[in-house]
Amino acid sequence: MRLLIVEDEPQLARHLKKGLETVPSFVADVCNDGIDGEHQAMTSDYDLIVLDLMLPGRDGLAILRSLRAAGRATPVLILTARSEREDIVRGLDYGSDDYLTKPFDLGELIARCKALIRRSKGRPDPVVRVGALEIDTGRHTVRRGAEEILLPALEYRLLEYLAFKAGQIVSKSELLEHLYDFNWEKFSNVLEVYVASLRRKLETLGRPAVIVTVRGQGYFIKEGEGVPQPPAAE
Amino acid sequence: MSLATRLALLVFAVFLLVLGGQGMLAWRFARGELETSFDSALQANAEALASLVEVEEEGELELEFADEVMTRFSRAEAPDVFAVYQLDGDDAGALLERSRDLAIVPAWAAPGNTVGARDFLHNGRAYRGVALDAVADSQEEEHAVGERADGHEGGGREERILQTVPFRVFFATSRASLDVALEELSETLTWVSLIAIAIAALGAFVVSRQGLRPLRRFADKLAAVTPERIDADLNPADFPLELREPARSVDALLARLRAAFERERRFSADAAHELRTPVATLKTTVQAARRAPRDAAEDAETLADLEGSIERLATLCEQLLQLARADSAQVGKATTGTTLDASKLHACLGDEIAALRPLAEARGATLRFESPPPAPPGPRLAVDASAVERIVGNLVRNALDHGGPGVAIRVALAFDAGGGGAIEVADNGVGIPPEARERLFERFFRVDPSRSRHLGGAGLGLALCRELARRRGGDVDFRPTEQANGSVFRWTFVAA
Repeated sequence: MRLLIVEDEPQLARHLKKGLETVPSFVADVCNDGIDGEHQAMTSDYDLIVLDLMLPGRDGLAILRSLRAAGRATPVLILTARSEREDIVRGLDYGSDDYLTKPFDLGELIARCKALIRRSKGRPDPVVRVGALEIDTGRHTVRRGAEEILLPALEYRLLEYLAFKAGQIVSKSELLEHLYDFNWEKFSNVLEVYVASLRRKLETLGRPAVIVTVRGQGYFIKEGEGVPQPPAAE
Repeated sequence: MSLATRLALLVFAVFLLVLGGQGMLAWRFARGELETSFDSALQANAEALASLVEVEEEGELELEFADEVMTRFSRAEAPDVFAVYQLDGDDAGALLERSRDLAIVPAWAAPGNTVGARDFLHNGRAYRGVALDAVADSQEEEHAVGERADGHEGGGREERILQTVPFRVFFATSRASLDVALEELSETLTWVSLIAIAIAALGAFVVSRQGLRPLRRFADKLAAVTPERIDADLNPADFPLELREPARSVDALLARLRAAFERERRFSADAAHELRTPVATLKTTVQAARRAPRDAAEDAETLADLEGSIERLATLCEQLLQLARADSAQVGKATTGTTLDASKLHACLGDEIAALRPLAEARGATLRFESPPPAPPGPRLAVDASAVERIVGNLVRNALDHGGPGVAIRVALAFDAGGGGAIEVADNGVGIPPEARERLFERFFRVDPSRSRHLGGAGLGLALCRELARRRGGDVDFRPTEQANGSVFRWTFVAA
């Protein structure tokens, strides 16, 4: 999942990124002022935006308003040092999905971010079941029965993203967009390597396919028992 | 004494005076009338008695119907008494008749004394008597025959020969009826007065309470104003004329209070906000470090970041504390403190500049202080060394932070004729945009929030400088320069 942090206090932003990236499926971009932040939010597809309200250049609420006016449904969690009721209510009314007041607990922030992402993907249940596989996006574990399968961060991230979009075909470019922060060069070959690695770990011979490749379109995971079939071509 | 009581007492006193005066007059008048009518009756009786005195032969007087008179005058209890004197000359006379029980005629009634009604005691009772001098005349008619003008007979001239005999009549009657009447009158008037006074007292009380009701209403409205509900205004139009001015003053006072509370509230809100951000940074830094895998490099960076945040937090707390202290000190009163004479001030300023120079050089800026030292010791000024350090330090650091690299800063010290002086910190940096100049010294105001935050400022520095200066009777303000870019900040101080 790709997150955007818009926070003008540089040290806070830096450590926020560090803290959020301790979540295996999270990768975060940082912007230190409103103008940059708005630009990033509008031009890239994020799974969640952590938005500070008091920003130089462009105020957080204004960014929120233009984001929503442009039809972007990205979940937004606002951070504010102002705990006054009116500011919080206004933030929510302008289209944010949740808020936290500073100083906040990092663990709570992480949990709320995960919940917001889950909800926005339409997956209230943190656990995604594919055949015998149980992908627990809350605890970031993958189990087959009682056996836990350990995955490196990027592979887990890829798996979780596909799991959240189970039933949908996810294009390579979308995957690249959501799995890396903007500092990385995006080579789509990297994806194939990770998918192959995942398959090796999750699909032993004889077990049903977990990740299905749809030529020219992307990958998908189907939830539930049985052999996954690709959905009708888009 | 309460206003209502005072007013009630005054009104009551007025009532008392008026009622008392009225009562007094009424009493005098009524009494006069009663006495006059009594005396008239007395006089009438005396005259009636006098009319009974006839002249007999030889010029002797006789009281007609003496016995009847005596009988008639005799009544039980307090009979009327009389005496009649035949006068020869004005001063003397012989007693002719008198009442049976009038043993002694009062001296004043005797001939030769004044006439007029008087009181006296008779048989232990109060009597009032009057002495009356009169004349009795006899008429003898001589008939002379003569002719009338018209020629008829008969009728003739009648000549009267008068024989007048002076006499004095003394008549007295018991005062009892008069006294009873007077007593009744007095009693009635007393009761009426008492009731009137009671009503007056009550009336005065009620009237003053009613009259002062607007005042109570005023007080009630004032009492309803609490710190929580300070937005209720007194409406001057609701009150009578005399209370409108006070009501207006109170409204103005409430407006000032509201403004002060608003400033307080905003300051608290701003302060809270400013404190929360560095605290949030600290918290997130530590929590992220605990979650993430750690190595020596990470740890070093984290600790450095923590130290920086704590520094900023400490500075902010210190500034807020100073402001709080400045707020609680009395406004407008120049507090006492240590003083410096002019040459010591110059030396102190030089020291501070020297301490700041390394910082300036590290930023590639120049810092100059070229004012000549004054002749020692010079006038005594209301400044102290810590103020020099704080104010000048702040102003120079501002110039360094916001002037951009290579900024040139010049500090100057000058004294004026009035015993005070000024320190100026001038730079050729980017200057202050006109919109921001009004608000420079506001708490938490930053010209460019993003950059200042980055540098760790909360916008309190200039506010603090001004507070410190004003506490000793001076001030800090901003002057734009003649050049396009640059600012001059001026700290003025007064003689100690």
